[in-house]
Amino acid sequence: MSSLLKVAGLTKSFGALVAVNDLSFEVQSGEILGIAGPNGSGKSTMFNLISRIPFGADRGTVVFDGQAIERWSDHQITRHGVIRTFQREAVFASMSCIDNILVAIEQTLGKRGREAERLADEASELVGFPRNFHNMHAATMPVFYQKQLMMATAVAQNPRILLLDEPASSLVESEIEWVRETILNLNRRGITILLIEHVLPLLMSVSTRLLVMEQGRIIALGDPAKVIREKQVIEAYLGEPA
Amino acid sequence: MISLDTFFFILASGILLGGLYALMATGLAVVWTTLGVFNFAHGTFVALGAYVAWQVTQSIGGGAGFLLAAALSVIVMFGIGFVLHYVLVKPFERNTNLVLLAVITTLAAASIIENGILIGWGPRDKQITPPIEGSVGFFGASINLYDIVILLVALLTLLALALFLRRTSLGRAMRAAAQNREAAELMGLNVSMLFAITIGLSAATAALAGVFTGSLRFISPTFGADPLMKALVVVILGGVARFTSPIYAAFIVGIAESFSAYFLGLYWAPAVLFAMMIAVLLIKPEGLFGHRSKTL
Amino acid sequence: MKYAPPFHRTNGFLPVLLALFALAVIPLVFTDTYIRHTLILVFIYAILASNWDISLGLGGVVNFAHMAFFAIGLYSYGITVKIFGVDPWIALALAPVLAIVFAALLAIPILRLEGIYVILVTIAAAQLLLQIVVSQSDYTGGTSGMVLLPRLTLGDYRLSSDGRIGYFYLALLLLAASTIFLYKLERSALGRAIKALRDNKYYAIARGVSEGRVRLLTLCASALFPGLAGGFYGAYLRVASPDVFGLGFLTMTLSILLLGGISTIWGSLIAAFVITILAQLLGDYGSWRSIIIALLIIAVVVVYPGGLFAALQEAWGGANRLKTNMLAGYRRRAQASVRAAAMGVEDRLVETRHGRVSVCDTQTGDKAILFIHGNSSAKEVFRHQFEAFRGDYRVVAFDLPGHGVSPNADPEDDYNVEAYAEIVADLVEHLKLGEPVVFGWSLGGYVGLEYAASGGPITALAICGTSPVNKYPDDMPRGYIATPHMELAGKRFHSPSEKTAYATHTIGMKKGLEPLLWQAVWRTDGQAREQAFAKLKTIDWPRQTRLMRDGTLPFAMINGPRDPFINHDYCRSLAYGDIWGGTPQNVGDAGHAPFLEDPETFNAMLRDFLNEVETTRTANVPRETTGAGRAASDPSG
Repeated sequence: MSSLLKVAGLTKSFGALVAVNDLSFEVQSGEILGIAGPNGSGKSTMFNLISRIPFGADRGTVVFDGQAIERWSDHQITRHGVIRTFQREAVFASMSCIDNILVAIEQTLGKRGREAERLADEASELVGFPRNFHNMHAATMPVFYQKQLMMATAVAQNPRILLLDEPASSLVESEIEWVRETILNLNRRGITILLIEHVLPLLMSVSTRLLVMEQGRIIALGDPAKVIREKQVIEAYLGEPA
Repeated sequence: MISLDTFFFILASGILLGGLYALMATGLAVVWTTLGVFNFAHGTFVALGAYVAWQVTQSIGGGAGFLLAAALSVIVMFGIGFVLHYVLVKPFERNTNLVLLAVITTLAAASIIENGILIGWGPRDKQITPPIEGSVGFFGASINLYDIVILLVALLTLLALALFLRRTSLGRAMRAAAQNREAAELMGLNVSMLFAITIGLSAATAALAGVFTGSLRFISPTFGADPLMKALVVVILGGVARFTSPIYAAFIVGIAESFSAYFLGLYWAPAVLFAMMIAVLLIKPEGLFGHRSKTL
Repeated sequence: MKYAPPFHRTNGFLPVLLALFALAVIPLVFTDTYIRHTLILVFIYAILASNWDISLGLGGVVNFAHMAFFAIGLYSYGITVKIFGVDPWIALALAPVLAIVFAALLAIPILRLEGIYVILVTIAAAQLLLQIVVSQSDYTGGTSGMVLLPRLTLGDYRLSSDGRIGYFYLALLLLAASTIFLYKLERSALGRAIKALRDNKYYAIARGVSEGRVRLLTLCASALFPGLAGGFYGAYLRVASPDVFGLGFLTMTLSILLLGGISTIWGSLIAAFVITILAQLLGDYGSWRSIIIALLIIAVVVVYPGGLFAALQEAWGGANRLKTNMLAGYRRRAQASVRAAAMGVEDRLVETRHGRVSVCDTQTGDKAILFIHGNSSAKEVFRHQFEAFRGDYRVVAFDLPGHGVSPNADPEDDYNVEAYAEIVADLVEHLKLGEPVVFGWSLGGYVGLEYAASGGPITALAICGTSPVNKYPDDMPRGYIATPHMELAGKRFHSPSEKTAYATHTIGMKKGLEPLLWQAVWRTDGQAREQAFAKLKTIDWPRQTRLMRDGTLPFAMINGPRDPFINHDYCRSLAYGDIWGGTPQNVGDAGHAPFLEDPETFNAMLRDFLNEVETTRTANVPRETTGAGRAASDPSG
């Protein structure tokens, strides 16, 4: 195992609020790094800073596979295989589901026509998004399928590292099972995963390491089973329904 | 180089222009911040106001006639603005395309007013006789007394508008409706009428600007286009963060126009203004005197 | 899997072809120069408005400097031919290049701005350009403009000769090329990226869309044809004047775009005709003309924000309903004998709470069997069953509302599975069918299930070509195979080739052999398709699956192994309390409609089921003991 993503001294402030404060950690190639922390602890902001969508960091560096991410513009980051999803299910509302996937393939991989359509079918297959829904309007799909579509779209971009922001939020038990299986399946295929999740059983069952944040800082990082028993972590979660 | 008295003359005419622009732009800015709509008929409000006043001065001459003309023009334009809200904006105030739809309806209204003026008053140039004559010295330059009166009245009008919005209950209700429509409705305010009053007030100030402009230059049916463009430049340049933002910008624009007209010629002056505006938008889109919270 | 038929297979093809033909013929019929001139103006407005939609509609970039592209094309033509003495054709080709350069420059200030700021900065940019044009009177003629620009010639032939016919065809060619360009662009990778950026900016960037590049290309693409049209305009009118920067010209073009409807190419084309011709007709009324047009614009925007194209589509939908209804009425009378020959009995209209439906009823026999056909079909699909079963049973079949020779019905209330089940209940009651055996095919399968689940009197239920659903829409992709033809099931308007594809895949037969059923596809009310599909989500699906699980009602599934739609593995995997034969049965080598494709095998199988139901009922013994009925054909299906 080698370090795929190296974050050093990452800092972002909004006025007086320091949302992400001097964050440093490394992600090993092939691991699933779970990220926990109370609401507002800076988890999603950290994803924003790494992907530079919609903003980059005030200070600090992100090195992906030996190259500084700062050198790339926001959309170029995706072309190097750093792919993120969003907490709320996001789709291109005016487009069909297949066009949602195609746009990502065309813009990220530069593939066109039948080749792009084949890759879209493959991605759908991989995450279990039904091809029957390909020609339906993305905006009319139920939440679960919009989540699946977003996952299929991200997978279609050929990620090397996948930044998943609460893929299980607002899903029911059986659907969360789909999230678990998909994450493990993608990881088996060599995709490194950063997973922000509030559903603790899911997070604990898939993460190889767990990172816990509070007020923009890392308060614990390591083996999930040990981390979750640390005093600081329990305190951070007190009053915070998991 | 220019002589000192020429410099002060240009400066003074720039300040006068600034006063008129402030009157025009503030109305535009108030509608924009309150309704979120950019009113392309604002220039024709200025023109129609001038024509209404001209009509009155034709029957009643002298200073009294002018005062009556100005007062009637302001009242009539308030009424027109009030009614237009229900026709041009209200039908689709909840439509997601409100900005674009309002652009097209206000453009259409501008076309109606402009052509209505053409039908009503014909294409020939007209001028309102200024009620005051005489001039005073200003650092060696001779300034018309009337110009000074215009400037003072314009500033007093804006002050009165500001006080109205801040100190009266109706003004405060209008600002509440602008900030949070739903909350204002829950409080039992008639938001539609507040918006209509906003457009009415904007049209009334435009009318006053029209009366003054019409007594300084010739007016013609297409006379509204220039005030619209100037008001647009002023609003962009100053931003709309505060009530005073477009007023400062109006004076900058007036003075800049005055000087560039003198040094670069009449044709280049507008180009300078538009270039200034684009530059400001590039560097500080929120305007020179504005703050815009960056949203995610 | 993407379903995107090429243009010549869509419903738009024929109207567009006809319009193009009409436009090409008009100048030959009407040699009046004025008509040609008006049409040339229409074409130019159509190009300007429809290309504006690239930025405004597709891209969501409200670019008010759009008319400047046209102005640049115009002045670039004027300056290059008049000042630099360039050949007019080369000057015409240069016009769009300069317009695109300006568009690229315009993209820089726009990139960081949003909403109203884009409007304002683009207005300012256009005004800046106007000021430059006016101030450079040595090159541009200042406020009075340039006159007597050289015209276009082909060899020695002037395009203005013979009543401007050359210019007419050149303008038509430009419009056609522009329309093809727009059509292709919207469906291209770039078109998708433009829409993605408009729909959800940050999500688009995360999907690899470059905001800067796509916005730049959006503006450049929208400048190409307006620039060309500007050059053409200069060569045609031989005048370049700063009027083209005016608010009047902009308002006119914008109203065409908004009247036509945003994000439709065809809308602006149609609106260009309406508005320009209206403007020409009102030409004598001077200022009143502008006022009337402005009032019209406000009226349309206020009353009909969707625009003319939406109105036109609605009208077309209405006409289509009228047409299908008249067709049904005509055939009900004119083809009664043909249908009677096929079914062995004449049909008649029966009143139900969802309107009148056409029913075939053999009348005799104490045990009834009721057949329900599927989407876009008709009762005649069961003619082999009428022949085979009328000796022993009272055989009944009916056309669903909006299908066959039943009249059309109310789309909101009458075109859905629950309404169809209520029609079945009404028929059972009015025709006194007692407790019939119900057979439902495809969509009719759901109708049968719904009827039984809602407690309607029934002896046994058989379904065919239907995948039972427990959770909607989750079970739809499990129960059905993803094929492009599935897209047609809920589509309102089918093009002729789509109708053919639908007919051949559902009936599985060639046109000549089943004329009645072939016609049925054409006759079906598009709203019936659309509504029945859209309202699937309101059905109480678990009630249906509970019925099958309970096993209290004799139940059979008889499918075609080569059915292109249903997933046989899924059907077999479901929990059935007591399904005939223990599992869904397959008929020979048939497809979606086995009763029509292989009637002998099917009828024998259905008869076995009916006999078993009969034996069970009369003997009143547990059905488990009666065995598996007829051995299923290839179970791997």
